Amino acid sequence: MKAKDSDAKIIASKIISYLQSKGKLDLITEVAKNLLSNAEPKKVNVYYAVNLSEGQKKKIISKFFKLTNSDDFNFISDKSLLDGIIVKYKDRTWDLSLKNNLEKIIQL
Amino acid sequence: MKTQNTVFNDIQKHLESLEFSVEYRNTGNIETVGDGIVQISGLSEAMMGEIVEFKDGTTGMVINLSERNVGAIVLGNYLNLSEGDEVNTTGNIISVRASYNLLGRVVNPLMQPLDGSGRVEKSRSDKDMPIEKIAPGIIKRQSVNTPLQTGIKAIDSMIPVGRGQRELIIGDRSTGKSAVAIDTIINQAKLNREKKAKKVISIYVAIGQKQSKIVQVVDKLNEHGAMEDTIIVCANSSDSVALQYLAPYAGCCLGEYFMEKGEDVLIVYDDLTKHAWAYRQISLTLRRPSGREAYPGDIFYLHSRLLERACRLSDKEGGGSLTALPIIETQAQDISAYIPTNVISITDGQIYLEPDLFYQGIRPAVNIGLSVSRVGGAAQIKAMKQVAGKLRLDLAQYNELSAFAQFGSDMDDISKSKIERGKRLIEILKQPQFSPVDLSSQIIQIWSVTHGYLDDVEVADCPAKTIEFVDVVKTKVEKLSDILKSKEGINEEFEKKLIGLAEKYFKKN
Repeated sequence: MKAKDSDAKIIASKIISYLQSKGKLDLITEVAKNLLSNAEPKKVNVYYAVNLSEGQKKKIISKFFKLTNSDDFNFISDKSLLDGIIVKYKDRTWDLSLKNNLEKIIQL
Repeated sequence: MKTQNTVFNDIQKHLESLEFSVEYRNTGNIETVGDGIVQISGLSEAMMGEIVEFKDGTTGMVINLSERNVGAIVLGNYLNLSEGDEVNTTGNIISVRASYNLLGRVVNPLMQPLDGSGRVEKSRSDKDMPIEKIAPGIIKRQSVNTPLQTGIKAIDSMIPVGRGQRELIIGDRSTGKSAVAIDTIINQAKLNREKKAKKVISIYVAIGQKQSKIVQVVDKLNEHGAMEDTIIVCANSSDSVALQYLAPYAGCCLGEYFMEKGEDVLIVYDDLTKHAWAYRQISLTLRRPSGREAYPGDIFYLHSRLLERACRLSDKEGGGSLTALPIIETQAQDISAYIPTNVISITDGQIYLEPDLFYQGIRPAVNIGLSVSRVGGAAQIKAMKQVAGKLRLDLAQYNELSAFAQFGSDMDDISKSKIERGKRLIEILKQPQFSPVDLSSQIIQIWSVTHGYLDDVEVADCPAKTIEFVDVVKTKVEKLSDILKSKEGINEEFEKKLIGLAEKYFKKN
């Protein structure tokens, strides 16, 4: 842990001295924000109940690439969905599961 | 009677018509939970005032948006929530379902019934009203020009309230603040039963009060037949601060629903001091910067945006009105404290109830010097203006002279007579609780004192004498109410008649 901290301190001081040398130290906040947003996971998790064919997987990837701009897809099995899929990317969720639709019918 | 087959066919048809759809959700996770407030990470698309749904079905309302997380108040039991639980946005801004079926009911700020009389029936005229709404603009309004009779002599004569006005009721604890408001609601119910009268719907919003007090209020309203035209919205002291914070806005939504339908509505916020406390608690838990008395910086806006929604709509907009009677509790008669001064400056006047007067037996304990109605005068009927014009001055003179007389100094006859007149005026303005007085009786009673007919009557006998005199006038003068409510007010002919009756009655008795 301590080694990690000291590494981080060295990297941070290098960034600061680089910005100082370029006379752009005022950009430090923006740089930090960019670093954080780039470090966020960009994985798209696809939960499914019934095994998906390669064709179906490709179709899902092409559809959700347009929405998420990410090509890092991770397929996870979840039998509780009964059928259909749930796609999760960052804090966004697309629910196409049978479970959710049945819950909606029950609410009706 | 449907057969089994038809029922199955109906279900099948229903299922066939269903379309399996994609549900999009913006999700987040609970970071911290405490005192009904949750901090949620994620939810990057959350909107201010949006309803969010927790894993166990409990809902919350977004109240704080920041770069890193979202703050929400939980509208239910927060004890089952824990760190890491998933939270979803719903895309719906918080609203309440307003309905005529709510009349006569006791509900919480989410319109869930608390009176044990079953669900609130749905009807076609029901409407979802957003809790936060911008107040109607200048074009949609008209000036206050119709009186709202409280049935309390001291108020209707000297501090008149008009329909669409915001009149603050302020005073220390146990000085009769709620009593004034409840009497006003009872009087509306009494007037609603009169022919030709335009109905006034009453809404009583109880914020942070004891449940036993609410029960008393409901009982009293039922006893006087006022409950059928009244809705009680309550968030008790045992309810979460979220509900206490929402209660006045929810009540206001109901008021606006009826107002938009052209109805006249009276809303009582009992009381806004506790509402400010609830908001202070929310703000401190959300770690918002605190200011004076630890209240957040937007405490003024909290009440101004609520009270600004009270108005009288133009005839083009239906002519409805929303009259607000907010209540503020002061500590040790300090009306210059933070929240009292805020609300005083927002409202169109205040009725100040003084403990000293209350304990002297002068009830309602209205301090005439500190009470004022800034717009109500325009709504007062002419006859009342004629008789009450001198009343405030006479009382002010009495208060000054009686303070001077306490030193035991000799007084001239004029001063003595002013003191005697003042004593009788005060006696006449005393009124027991739950006994509103009709407008005609108020006018005749005040007229008989200000014209000196009670000068020779013992002070203690004055109320009984004036009541008897009112009965005499009512039996001798046909359509008394119409005459007094006319644009002319008390004309020469009517005054002559009144003088004749008074001389005959007071000489005889």
